[in-house]
Amino acid sequence: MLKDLDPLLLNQIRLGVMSLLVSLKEAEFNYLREELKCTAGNLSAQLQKLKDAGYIDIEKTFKNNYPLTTCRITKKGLEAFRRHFEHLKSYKPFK
Amino acid sequence: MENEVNLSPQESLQIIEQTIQRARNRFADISVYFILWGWLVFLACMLNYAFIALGLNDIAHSVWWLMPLGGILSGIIGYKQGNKSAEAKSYIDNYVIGIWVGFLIMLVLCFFISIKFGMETGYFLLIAAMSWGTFCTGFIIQFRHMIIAGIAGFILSAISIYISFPEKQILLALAMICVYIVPGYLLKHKLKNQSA
Repeated sequence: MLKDLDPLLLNQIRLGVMSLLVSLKEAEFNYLREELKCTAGNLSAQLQKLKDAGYIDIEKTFKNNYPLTTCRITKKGLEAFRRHFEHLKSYKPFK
Repeated sequence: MENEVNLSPQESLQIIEQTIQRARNRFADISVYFILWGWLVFLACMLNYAFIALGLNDIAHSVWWLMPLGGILSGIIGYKQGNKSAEAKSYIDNYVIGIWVGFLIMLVLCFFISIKFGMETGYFLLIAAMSWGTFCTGFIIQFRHMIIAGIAGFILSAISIYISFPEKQILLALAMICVYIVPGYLLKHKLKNQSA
């Protein structure tokens, strides 16, 4: 039986962000942008949506006088990602 | 403009698999520490052995004052690495730090054991502790050469029981080549190829 997928994680960038953050302790904005090969504006918008859903924490600080944005996955995000992944597997066997 | 095209389940699984694999392969470049400490201890061992062979026993042990230099250089390298590439912190880095902090604690224990039971036991434990650090690091970063280097180190550690001082210094120098220097250069080569 096919299960409902998390609509928030059907977007390529948001899914990419979550996939990176489940494997990392934390990641800076520039790292995510380079890994996901997207524009700063688009990434910013997607991060905000994930933050609004409570899936990630965003910390804004300064490093060498430049603004620094650091992202971490939350427990809720981790659980949502796990659930989404389990549902995806019901569509196609994961190799 | 925001692109809200929904991914198919197959595309989603592909993205998850590829992205997690990329993130898993990410860890700080630790090869520099292996190379630095490998050469430093190798140099100290050889100088120590040469001084003893030349009958300069009084100054032979002073070569171990090179070790604080290694500590200072490691601190500088760590600080520079932290400033340059702290774009993502992986759990792997934490595990590796944990292993080598454990190794430092073992070094202190080796020192006390050497005082109590003599250098015979101290060298055995020192080489075993070094090999353990390399062996575990190899497992965590999934680098086979480092696992093999660790096993080679364990064998050298066992051999050290049957070798007397000052020849133990030569064995320790050999262990530095096997356990630190060779895997250090191999890891450096691997990371260079990965980033190219």
